[in-house]
Amino acid sequence: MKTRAWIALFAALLLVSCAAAWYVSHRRPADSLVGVYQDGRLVRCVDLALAAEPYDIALADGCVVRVEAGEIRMLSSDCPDQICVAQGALTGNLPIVCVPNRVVIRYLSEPDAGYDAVSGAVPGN
Amino acid sequence: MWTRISAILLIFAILAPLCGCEAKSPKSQSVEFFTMDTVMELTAYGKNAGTALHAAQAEIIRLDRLLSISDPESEIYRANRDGFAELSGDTAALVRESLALYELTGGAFDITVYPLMDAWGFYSDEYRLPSDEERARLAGLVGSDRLALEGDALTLPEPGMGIDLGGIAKGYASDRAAETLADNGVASALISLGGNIVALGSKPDGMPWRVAIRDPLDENAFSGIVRVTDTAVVTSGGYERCFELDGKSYHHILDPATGLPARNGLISVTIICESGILADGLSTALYVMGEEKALAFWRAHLELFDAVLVTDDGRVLVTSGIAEAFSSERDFEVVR
Repeated sequence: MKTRAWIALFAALLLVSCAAAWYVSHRRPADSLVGVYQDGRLVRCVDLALAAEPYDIALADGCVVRVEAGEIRMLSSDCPDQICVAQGALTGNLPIVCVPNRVVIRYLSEPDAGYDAVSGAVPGN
Repeated sequence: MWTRISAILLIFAILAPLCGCEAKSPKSQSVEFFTMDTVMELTAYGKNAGTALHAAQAEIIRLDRLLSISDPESEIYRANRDGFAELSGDTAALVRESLALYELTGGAFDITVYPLMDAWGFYSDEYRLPSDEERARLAGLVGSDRLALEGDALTLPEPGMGIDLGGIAKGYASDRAAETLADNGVASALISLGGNIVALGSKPDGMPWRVAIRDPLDENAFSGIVRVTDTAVVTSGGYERCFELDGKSYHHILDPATGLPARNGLISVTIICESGILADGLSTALYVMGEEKALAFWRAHLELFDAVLVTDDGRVLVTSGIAEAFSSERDFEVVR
């Protein structure tokens, strides 16, 4: 009986361990999650991998963000320089920034890209 | 007895991978906010990181209120409006540093370019091309050697003169932010003030921070990556703020000698040194100087800084003091 109990315990632990390993290896890729920030606060979290249909996110202060075909970009903004709109879709290296409207769009959890920070003005400056 | 010990060890062996799956370096905390016309992000590690970050953020916002050229309550706004101002200690220190940099760089760094910047529309975003006559007239108002700073009292001797600390304020603020974080017990932090980087200490795992330098011709690429500890990395490039008129591009780094956007062969200058304020000021100054003068200046001041220069024909030049810590997917030349 004692031996059976040990075997059951090992089997249960092995099952839990395998399930956790499967979850870690198959979970949603971190780089599909994008945060839309305004005034330094996260106002919207977007999973680009799940965006089947195009849709828009209207922010306060006249910014509209478009999510489409696995990409996210600033569709329109009432800022004078329109740098954020001209930047196009978000890529891994640089966030989309609209300084006049205090909006930042960037990946929530970037994989290790080989650097910790980027020197040189961020777009939108 | 041995069976039980073996069983317990086996349990640990099964569970160990679960514990290791999410093993990470110490948790970081970050704040992101907008001030000084840019976005700022501060990241710190350690037990007191949260308190320290908020203190550093408050310090940067306090400095912006002193140094803004557009806020009617700021000391710089009042100095430009009235031609005279009693400055607080921080503002006076910054003007003093600016005057020293003006001397050091032979006038390549000059905070009195304010009337020229205004004429080009860089403050109003209503860009225009000042005529030769207008630039010649405004050039008479430019020259930091004409400013008088007696104690903390600043005098601008001629009506129409003005100062703009934008070429050095973020550097000063980044130094103050680093000091504030350190005073609050943080030993590992990364400060990015609109792309002006100051690394405090090393990464939590003891490795140096890796700071990528933006490629001036491709915003999705890098000129290289420099590995640093307790160091500022500041880049100036004409791509930062520019406009097009009649098919020609004009950027915001004005040559004080001509009143025109500097076009002396460099399209990006990165300065790597211990001081954020020095890195900020020199990145502008060397951009104005151009390749030949910039390298001569570096050779005369090896002890102060290192640099990564990108030329308009696509070459990447790295000064020898930082070459060992620099890597790039592109070819680069080491300058000695």
